[in-house]
Amino acid sequence: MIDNGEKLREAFEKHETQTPDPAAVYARVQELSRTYQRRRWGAQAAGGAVLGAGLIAGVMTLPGLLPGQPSTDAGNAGIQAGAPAAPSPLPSLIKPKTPGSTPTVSAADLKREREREAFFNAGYDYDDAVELAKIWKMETDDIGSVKAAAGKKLLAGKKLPIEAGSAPEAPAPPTSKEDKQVDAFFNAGYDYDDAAELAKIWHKKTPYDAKVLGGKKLLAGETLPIQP
Amino acid sequence: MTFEQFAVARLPSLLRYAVVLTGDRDLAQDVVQEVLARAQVRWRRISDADSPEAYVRRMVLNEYLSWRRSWAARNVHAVGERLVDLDDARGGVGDHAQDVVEADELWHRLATLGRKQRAVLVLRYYEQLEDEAIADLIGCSPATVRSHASRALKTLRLTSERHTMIHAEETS
Repeated sequence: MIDNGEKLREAFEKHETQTPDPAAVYARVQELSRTYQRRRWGAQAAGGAVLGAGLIAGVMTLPGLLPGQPSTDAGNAGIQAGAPAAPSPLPSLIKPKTPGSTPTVSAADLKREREREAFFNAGYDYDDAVELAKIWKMETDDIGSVKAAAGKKLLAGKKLPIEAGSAPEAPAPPTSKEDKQVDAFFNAGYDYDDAAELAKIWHKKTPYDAKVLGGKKLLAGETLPIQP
Repeated sequence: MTFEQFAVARLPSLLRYAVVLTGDRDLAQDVVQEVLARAQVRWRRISDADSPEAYVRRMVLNEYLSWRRSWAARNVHAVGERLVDLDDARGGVGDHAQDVVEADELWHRLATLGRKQRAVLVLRYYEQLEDEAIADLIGCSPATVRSHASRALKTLRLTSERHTMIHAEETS
């Protein structure tokens, strides 16, 4: 049922549009790249306040990037060390509510972005947010809300229950015996068609079962009844 | 092409790719932000590449595969909960909506895969790449790509069978 590329394509294409707001992403990209650039130059970080103010100003007004106004090369001009944050979001990524109106972002969105920003600037990451969701019994489906809630506390001068970057690492999934056998099957040069043929020869229910048995035999130094 | 021009043209597509790759809107945002921030700093070099977009898409893939810590194991719990919801909802939907429900269910099952296995399926069926190209991107042999794909498809089937069985027991 599942080994059908069409079904996988449908699932991917149906959900690919669940993207975050490109304008918000771009704003954060510019902020991060300035941080990286400053690190690169070994300069002292100017602090989140200037960046935050620049980000908010950029989101609200978009000067210099609106159609008809001179554009800047954000790859070069927007990352000057210590310079105030350049107005960032791309005009084409922010859709005006009505044609001809000035693009705006709601106060609630701005507040949430500031909170998210505070969360990241304090050194916390996605995994910390997942851990905080567990502690605060919040839904992990919307980690953005957890980040915003944590950022709100940080902006209020409160401490979070975990240190930045301290969420425990999830253990890597172990490689099972079956996995090793399947690896051996493919590493010997066999493919799906071979597995289907072997399943017939060995009276196995599925080609996958033949891959497992084939791999087991190969690991034991045996040869298979067909060549890859 | 400036970084700004690149972002205007390609950011929505990169975000769609990252959403499909990660299966998580928020993680997709984090991954793309990290990648583009680094790309912006090195843009002069990247823009000289034959295909800056292919270069950046590869960065997105690498960022996803090497994300600092594993998130998949934690994600599985939420997915399990969602699957129950989906099955509960299924009783009331008509046949014409069945494909949509199946696509949703499959999407949530994909979250139970390991990162490399998921990446292989995305590259093969969403990006429509050949196994040789996928092997080059992931840094393994084509045989290993086929192995990842095979195990991933098997896992998706097993999950489905197991879930159907549990659901049948619960409702009997």
